[in-house]
Amino acid sequence: MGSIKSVLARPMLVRFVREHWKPLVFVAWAVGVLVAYLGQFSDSLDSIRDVLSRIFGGA
Amino acid sequence: MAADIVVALAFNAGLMAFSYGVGRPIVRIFNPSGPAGVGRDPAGIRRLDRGLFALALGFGAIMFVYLFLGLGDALNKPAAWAIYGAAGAITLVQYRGIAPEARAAFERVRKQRPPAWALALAAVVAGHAFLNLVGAMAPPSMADPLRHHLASPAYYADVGGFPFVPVIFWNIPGVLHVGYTVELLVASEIAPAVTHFTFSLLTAGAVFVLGRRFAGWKVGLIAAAIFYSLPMTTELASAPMVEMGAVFFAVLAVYALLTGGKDADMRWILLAGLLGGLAGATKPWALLAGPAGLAVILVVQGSGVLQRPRRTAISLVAFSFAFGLVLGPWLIRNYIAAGDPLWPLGYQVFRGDMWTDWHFEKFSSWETGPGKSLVDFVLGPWNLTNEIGSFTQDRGPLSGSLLTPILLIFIPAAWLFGAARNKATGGLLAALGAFAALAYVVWFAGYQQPRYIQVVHPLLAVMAGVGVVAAAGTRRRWLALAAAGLLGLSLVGTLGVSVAFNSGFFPVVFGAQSRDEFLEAKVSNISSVMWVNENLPTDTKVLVMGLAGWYYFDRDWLVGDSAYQGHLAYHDMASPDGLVMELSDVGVTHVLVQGAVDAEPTLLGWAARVGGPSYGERALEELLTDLELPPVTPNDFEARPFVLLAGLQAEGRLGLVHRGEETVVTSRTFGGSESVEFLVFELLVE
Repeated sequence: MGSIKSVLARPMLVRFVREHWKPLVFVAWAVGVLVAYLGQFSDSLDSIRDVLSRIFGGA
Repeated sequence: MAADIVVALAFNAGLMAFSYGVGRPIVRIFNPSGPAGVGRDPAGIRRLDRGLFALALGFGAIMFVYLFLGLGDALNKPAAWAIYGAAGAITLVQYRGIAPEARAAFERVRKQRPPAWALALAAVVAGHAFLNLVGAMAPPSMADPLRHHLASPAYYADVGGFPFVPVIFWNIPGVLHVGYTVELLVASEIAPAVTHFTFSLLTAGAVFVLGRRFAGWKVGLIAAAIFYSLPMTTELASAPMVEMGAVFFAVLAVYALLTGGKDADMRWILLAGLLGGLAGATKPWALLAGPAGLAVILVVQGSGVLQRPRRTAISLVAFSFAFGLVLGPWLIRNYIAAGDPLWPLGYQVFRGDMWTDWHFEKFSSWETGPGKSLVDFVLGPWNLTNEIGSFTQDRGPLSGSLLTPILLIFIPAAWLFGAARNKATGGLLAALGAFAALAYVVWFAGYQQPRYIQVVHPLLAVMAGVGVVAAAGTRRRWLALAAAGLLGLSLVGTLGVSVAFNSGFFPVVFGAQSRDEFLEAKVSNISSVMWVNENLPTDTKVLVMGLAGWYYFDRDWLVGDSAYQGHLAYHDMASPDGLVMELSDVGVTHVLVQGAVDAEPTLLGWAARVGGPSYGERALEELLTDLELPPVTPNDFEARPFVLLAGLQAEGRLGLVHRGEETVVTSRTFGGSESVEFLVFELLVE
């Protein structure tokens, strides 16, 4: 196991990032948006439970 | 109830078929065909595309005939049926042309062998559509239709025309309002919501053809599914609102500009202007289609703007002319009646009658959203997706304003993965981006209500569709799976939202709940409306102090809230005598004060609610003395009628005849409500 610096400096990783930077950027962006999106419901769990309860009769 | 639903469905089926029949020859007059090389369909526009244009123009034409009948005070049941019948006859005359077209279209669909994912997307749209249709078949319960989208057509149907009524939102352009008036005359109260639901499906169709023409059928289908699964689409499609009509016309206008704008093909530009005008004449916020359409022309002509400026100028003028031509009747009517073509929205410019600085101040002070700084502007799309609760006052993120993350995730992917490098797709993205950006700037500068920017949702869905296809087309299987997974998760989630939203309508539609029980659970202040209907004499005229459930009044009534109307000039009344004279002049016999959560159930309690706590603390004599001077603030302006009414009550000229309980519904979806008290007074005038 080398240091982080040496791992990052490996040619394979550099090549991987260079070849796949677009999908990587996209995935990072998608995960960021998803986390922020789902995070806005943290205070609404009771409301969601109320609706489920109304639809499924106390589930 | 069941009969109302059947009539609503049958009437709408006829209306849409006849709109197509009437619009078919109009499309031929324009004879639009796609210039070779534009988009993916060099042979010209396809049958479905042409059919949507025909339906849009035919519907607009039929509504214009009804509009002019109404402006001449001649819109009654026989006239409404006569026009409907004439439109049907025009359609039947073309039977020999339409029947083979329909057969060919059916055969083409039958022979399609779409992949499984495409069928799954179509199934999602069908699931949403079924749920929305059930919602549309329930008695109207959303606040806005009960206050204007149905309340004003009900009044127009009653008086047989479209007189100028100085109530806010009642005189604003309304193509669908004309249709709703006809439907309330000859069909049922369910019919307007079914019409609006139909327009939601037509908009999904327009999104599909726009995406298909300029970026391929996959983009079209994905975009249609994204648009139709948005929670705001769900909320709107199941109610008699007007937004879906506006966006349908707007999407087709953009299609027309993208097809003929580059070569300055006047047929397409005029067609786009007419459709943009129809959008603006359906919903005030869709007036954005005017400037946004001009922006699209500039974008699609690109460098040609500098090389051939005269051609560009002619294009802009032609689009504006057609746009204004459609809006003309409404604008002229309002200008003649009140000196403001957009009464009361143009007050700042035109200083129209029956509106005041206090009205203007009240409505221009409305604010929502996290703020108006440069940072807020840049973060707007992020906040609209991930901080929607900051735009919905106290309702939190679980509302119809909720977006899906799909738009924000995939729109940048269109550029990231190089879809914009394709000439046709790049042109599409640039034009849609220009439209959306202009609409966003105007929206951001004004009241940041998420629904007011809904006109761009279909266009954003197309851009996101381009992004999904671009991400899936990178030859990386894992990325394609990730894109499909994100899209699938989002569609499943929004289907769940639709189930949650529409499930409350199933009992009343399928007979397990009575209409009255349904209304009691879903409509604020409905008990006071029903009390008036059931207990006051038929020759009663009620001054309504409150904003809920107006559509359901059976008795003659008048909007009494000072800020929402211009027929009662409370600000000019220096004493209760002035109010008595004015109420007597307009025939008011009773006053209803609807209950409110934050108001004591007294006249001065209401004055304190709208005017501030001081109105509850000061003596009535002192408040009456203040009436000798004009109101100082919009709050004083709003409190004034309640002080005047309290003065009348103290003098024994206004007698309390009933005090009752009712509920204010805080959420139709979650079922929340709060108990309040309403008051009914009788005007005791000798």
